[in-house]
Amino acid sequence: MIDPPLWLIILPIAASPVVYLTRRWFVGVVLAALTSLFTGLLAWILPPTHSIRLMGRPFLLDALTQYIVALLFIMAAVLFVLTWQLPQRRSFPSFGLIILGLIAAVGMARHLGIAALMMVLTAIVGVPVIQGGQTGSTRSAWRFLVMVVLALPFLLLASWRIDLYREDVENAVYLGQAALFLALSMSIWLAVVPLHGWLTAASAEAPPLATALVVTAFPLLGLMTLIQILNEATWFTWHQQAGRLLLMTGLISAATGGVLAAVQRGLRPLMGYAALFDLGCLLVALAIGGEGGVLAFSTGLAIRGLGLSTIGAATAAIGQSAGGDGLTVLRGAAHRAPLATAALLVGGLTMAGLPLTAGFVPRWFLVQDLAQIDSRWVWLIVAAGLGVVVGYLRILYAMLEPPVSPARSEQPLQIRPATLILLALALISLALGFFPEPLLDAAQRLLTAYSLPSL
Amino acid sequence: MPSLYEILDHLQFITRELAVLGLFVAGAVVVLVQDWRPSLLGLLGQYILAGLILSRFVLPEVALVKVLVGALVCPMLYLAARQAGWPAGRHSSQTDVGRDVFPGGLAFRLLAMTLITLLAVALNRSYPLPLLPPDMGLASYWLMLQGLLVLMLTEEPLKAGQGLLMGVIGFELLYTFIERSLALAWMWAAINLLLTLAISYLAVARTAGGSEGDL
Repeated sequence: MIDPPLWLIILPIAASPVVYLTRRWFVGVVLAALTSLFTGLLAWILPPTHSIRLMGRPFLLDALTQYIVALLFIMAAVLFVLTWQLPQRRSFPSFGLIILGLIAAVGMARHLGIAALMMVLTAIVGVPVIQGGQTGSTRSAWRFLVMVVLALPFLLLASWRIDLYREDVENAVYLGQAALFLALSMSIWLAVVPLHGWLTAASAEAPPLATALVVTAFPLLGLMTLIQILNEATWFTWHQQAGRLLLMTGLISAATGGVLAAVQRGLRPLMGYAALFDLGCLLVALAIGGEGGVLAFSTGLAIRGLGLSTIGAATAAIGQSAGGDGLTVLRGAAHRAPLATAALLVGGLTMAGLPLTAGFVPRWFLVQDLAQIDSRWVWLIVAAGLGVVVGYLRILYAMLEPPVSPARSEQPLQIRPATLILLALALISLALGFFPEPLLDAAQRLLTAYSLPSL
Repeated sequence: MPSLYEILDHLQFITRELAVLGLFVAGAVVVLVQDWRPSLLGLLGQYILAGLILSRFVLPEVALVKVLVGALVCPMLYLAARQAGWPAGRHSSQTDVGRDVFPGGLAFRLLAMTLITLLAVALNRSYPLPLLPPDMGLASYWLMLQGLLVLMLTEEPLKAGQGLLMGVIGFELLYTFIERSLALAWMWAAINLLLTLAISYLAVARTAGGSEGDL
């Protein structure tokens, strides 16, 4: 009999070929979305399980993996449905399912070497998703591929050093090297500054719906692996140093993301820098810990998925109606796609963490605890968040200008199912800003079952 | 048909030192030569020589997997190059595809390769790779660093991909000594093949004109 957690790997990967073969019909989209939604719900409701052995290595589904995997599967289900009406390669759902299945496998793997090899396999499947069938430039997909392959040797060497220590505790002398290798590889996977190139490049060139999944899933994959190591590895004794490193890289990433978001001239690059800012905030939350820090982190994970899905879908819808997403072609786009513009603004403000949006919940917990450590860092996070706001307001200003071609603006407003989903995402974001209880309940459920590492 | 062990017996005349030297030559071809055909042959040579060297230390089956991977990787890249419109014949280089993949001239690449070689020697002396004989440690460092050099010199997926695979071969020389299991050799093989598939896809996507790919 197959152990229940393994269904999280088997279901999406087994459905993928069928989804690929039916990708040109609506049934393929529905199948992908239903598979993703069902697997997400399964990940959410599965009870705690025992360790499983595969290929002689241990696999365990913990509450953190359940939370992140459920979040990604449900987010992907929404994105898959949107692919039917928004511009995106038809193969995205089938590759997306494989990516999600492999992410579940990485989350369950308890041997770093096996996790590392599967992480690279996941990233390789991500290449056609990022390229999205576009011809000409391959910069974003290529950078992504190169960076994850470069991270692999460091992870494998770290795994080897840890194995040596497990066999003979006299080998503790090598643990410092293992920690160093781990820090190097995780810096690439988490896309922290200055190794954020793959994240922002992917956002700038990949189709927006694919970007939403990639820039949410891959850094979370790294984060999940890192937290498991920090939490479970008995050999790791540098928690204080790791905390300081995470805090500094988080602050630098958030600041860089915020500053560069303010000066972007296109929706897709702006999405990348907003994601970088949010990632920085997540790392800071993880580093500071405490009651506020863990709540900021666990609610922030869900908000990242919601915010990036909203922005990604809105960017795709606006790009479709305006014929591009650069500042110059977006002039008057708000008149042609008012609902998508509103959703974009809500998504952008959610990522920035502005009050009255769901993004404010994690940001409020974060700044409260951060103020007790150093108030200057609070201002840094607030200023960086304002950078993201400025970026979206600049774009909005251009979009609200009179359209270049009046004839196009006179087209009747079409309410499509994709627009309704987009609107629903924006409304959920606003509703969670006013009534954050469901978000806090979900975060509390995670924190009850899983203790985040205290750094 | 000769068995694997008989083939290895026939190849006993190639000493490890000679094979390591061959690796340097094959690697140099990838770094220095712009033409994609000799470059691919250089990559194939690296897979075969790496397999031959490893067959003296690990299970011959593990070494054979490396050679088989090379035998699959290079035709995949060849087909991708042809699909991308890279010229097939000596006199068909009027097309822009596949020309000037490196921004610098041959002298620049030669100088860069020499500097990287010096760096590899220095690293091998200061931080010798554990478990590996010194000459193999040098070859491992050299392949990884030259692979990085190719990655720095070009973003053209077909050429840079060869650099990436070269770096992976260098690391595999080390890692095979760490993890000698056949299961892991197969996993590495899967990664190599999928990596090549991704490289081929990007190489074709870069040069494909008109309509978007069907994938």
